[in-house]
Amino acid sequence: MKKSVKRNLIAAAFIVPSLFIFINVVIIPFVMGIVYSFTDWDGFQFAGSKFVGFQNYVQVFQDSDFLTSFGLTFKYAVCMIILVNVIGLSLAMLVTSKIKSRNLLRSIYFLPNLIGGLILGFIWKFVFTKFFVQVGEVLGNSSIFFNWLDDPTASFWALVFVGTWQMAGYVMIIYIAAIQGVSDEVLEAADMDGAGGWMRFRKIMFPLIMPAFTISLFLTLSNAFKQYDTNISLTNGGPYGTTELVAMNIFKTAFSMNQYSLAQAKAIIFFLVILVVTVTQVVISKKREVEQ
Amino acid sequence: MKKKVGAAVLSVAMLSTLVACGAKSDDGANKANSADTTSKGTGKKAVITIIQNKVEIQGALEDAAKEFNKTQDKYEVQPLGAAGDNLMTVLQTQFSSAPEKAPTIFTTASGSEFQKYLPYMAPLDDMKAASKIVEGQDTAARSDGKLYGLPVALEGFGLIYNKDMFKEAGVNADDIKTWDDLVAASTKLEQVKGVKKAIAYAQESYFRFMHPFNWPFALMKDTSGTIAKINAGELKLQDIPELKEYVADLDKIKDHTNLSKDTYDEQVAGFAAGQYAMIHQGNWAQGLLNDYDVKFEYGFLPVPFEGNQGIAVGNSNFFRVNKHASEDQQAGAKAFLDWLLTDPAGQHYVTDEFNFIPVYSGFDTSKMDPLSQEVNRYASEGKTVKWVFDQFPAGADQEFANQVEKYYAGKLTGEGLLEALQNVWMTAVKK
Repeated sequence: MKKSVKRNLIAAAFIVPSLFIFINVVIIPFVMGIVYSFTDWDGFQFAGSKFVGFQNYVQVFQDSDFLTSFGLTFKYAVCMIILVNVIGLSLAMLVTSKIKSRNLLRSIYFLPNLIGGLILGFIWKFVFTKFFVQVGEVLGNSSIFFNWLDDPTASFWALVFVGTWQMAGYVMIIYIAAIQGVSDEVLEAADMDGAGGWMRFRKIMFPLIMPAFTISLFLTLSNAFKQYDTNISLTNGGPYGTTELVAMNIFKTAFSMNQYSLAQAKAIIFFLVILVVTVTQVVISKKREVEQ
Repeated sequence: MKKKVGAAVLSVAMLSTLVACGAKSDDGANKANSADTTSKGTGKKAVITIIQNKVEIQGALEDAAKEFNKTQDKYEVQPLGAAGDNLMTVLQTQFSSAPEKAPTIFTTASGSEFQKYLPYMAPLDDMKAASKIVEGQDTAARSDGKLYGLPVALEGFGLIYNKDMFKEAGVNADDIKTWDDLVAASTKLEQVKGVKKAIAYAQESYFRFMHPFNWPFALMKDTSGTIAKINAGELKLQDIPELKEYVADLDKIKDHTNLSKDTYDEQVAGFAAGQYAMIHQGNWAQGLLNDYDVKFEYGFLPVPFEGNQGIAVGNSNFFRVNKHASEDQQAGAKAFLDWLLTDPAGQHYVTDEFNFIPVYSGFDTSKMDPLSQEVNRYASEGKTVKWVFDQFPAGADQEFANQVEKYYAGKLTGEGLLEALQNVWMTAVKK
């Protein structure tokens, strides 16, 4: 009896501080946010705001800019998931193979992830607007080397490119850990049975590193949806508002259009969508995991 | 297990309310305390905080505050970091959480921003500086006859031109009387070696849309009436003759401009390097021009829309005092602003360090920088155009600028641009 009380106390000592912070900075603001989204709150004092029911939510679906940004964010998320994971996994395969410079390569590929998204955006902005134009002038080839941020399609791919460059190294680390966890015996057995390189990857390696997929897919998915810093520093929504992702749209609704309750309603919808998408993804990929 | 989690959540929730209560009561005690000591005239000084959006004067403002703090011992003025374009966001969060802790002195523009923060502004009629405001420059800060702001500075914008380059190209600036003259001059200027384009606009929303579109709106007969009609949905932008003409003029000059692709920095740098003969800018560019150590002479040229011969002069930025600050703080804020705007020691900072054109009588204006002197010259000759862009719908500047960007990129015709602007205008008004 006494022992269990002591154990509980110790457990509480670990849980309570972080739970305290979590409740104060996540749960309480979240609940307040839900309340705000049903009122006509103007961003100042809450007292005096009226309850307006679902009016804000109705307005969200009439806002064509928001729907466009949502579509764009979906497109961005799909591109990011595919590119980040394909490149991340390839890099992981490369640096777990027997090439000589593998330790150096690991750090190099991981490095972009250590730079903050905001700074990364500013660096690449310089590359796309200045360096590309210069190279284009020197080579006389302006079909690839032009100012990418001047064109809506190219700006979108610039966002994807920079995002991938930043995230790929991170998921690479996760894949490396998973690949190294696959026991040599299983792989050797596959070799003995005459499985080729592709067969070995597809039938043995792939199912065994499935847990890593669950994590990496989840990370890239939620990061891509919530992308804000690179968006603001690289394109700032431009040219003419064509690369405005959802997070930026919500921020602008609140702070430049001064429609706080509408922005809050947008944020709640955004939350629900991310929740559904990520939970579906986790459930599906969990099912495909196998025990080694 | 579930029980345990429940208990933990409960205890944390209780803890957080406890802390919240604690913070509140603590606060009250503190306030009583400070009020006590200041009334006795001993101990703590009243702290006056200032927040403003002009990054370029931040250093000088800190020096001014230091000097003011030395002259008296009742107040302690502390400039907070310059907020730049984020000022509205910062003010919003500060005032919505605790107005009494928000900055004592802050700046906002006139028009919609004034209306938004009016509940937080103290009237300033009893101030010494209030009586010295130049005639007519305080109307935008009045509400119900009371004065709620002190204008920060007079500013002017138009085309800043490179006088030496004009000479080299054989263009006489005084001869540019119509828009066609401007186009002809641009063609000549582009013959000069090193010149990429005759005119450059910057890409920030104010420089891309708000300032350039001030011309047609300010030069029409009844600006406020027209804008009221647009807001009411009775008039469309594409039906206003001045706007049609302005867009037709833009079509003519478009090929001679940089298509507003440069940032503010790049635009001024390009001007300093002789790549552009003219930039559409205001006297605030002086600081940057000084940084680039410009060797040639430069001055202001009117945008000759409908034969206009004036530059746009106005002030849209005002010092405000926070109504919810303690009485000591408010008195201190007024004392500091009076010192800055009426005492020679403070005035020195305004003209020489901030490079402001004062909006108050009693300033020594003989040592002002070149662009400020130009603005002063136009103002004294009465060749001015009003600032009306603060009457455009609030918060839509970026959306407007996006449409102009589309126009420059060739995705919209002149007419299409007006239609697109009309749409943005109406959505912004409806919200």
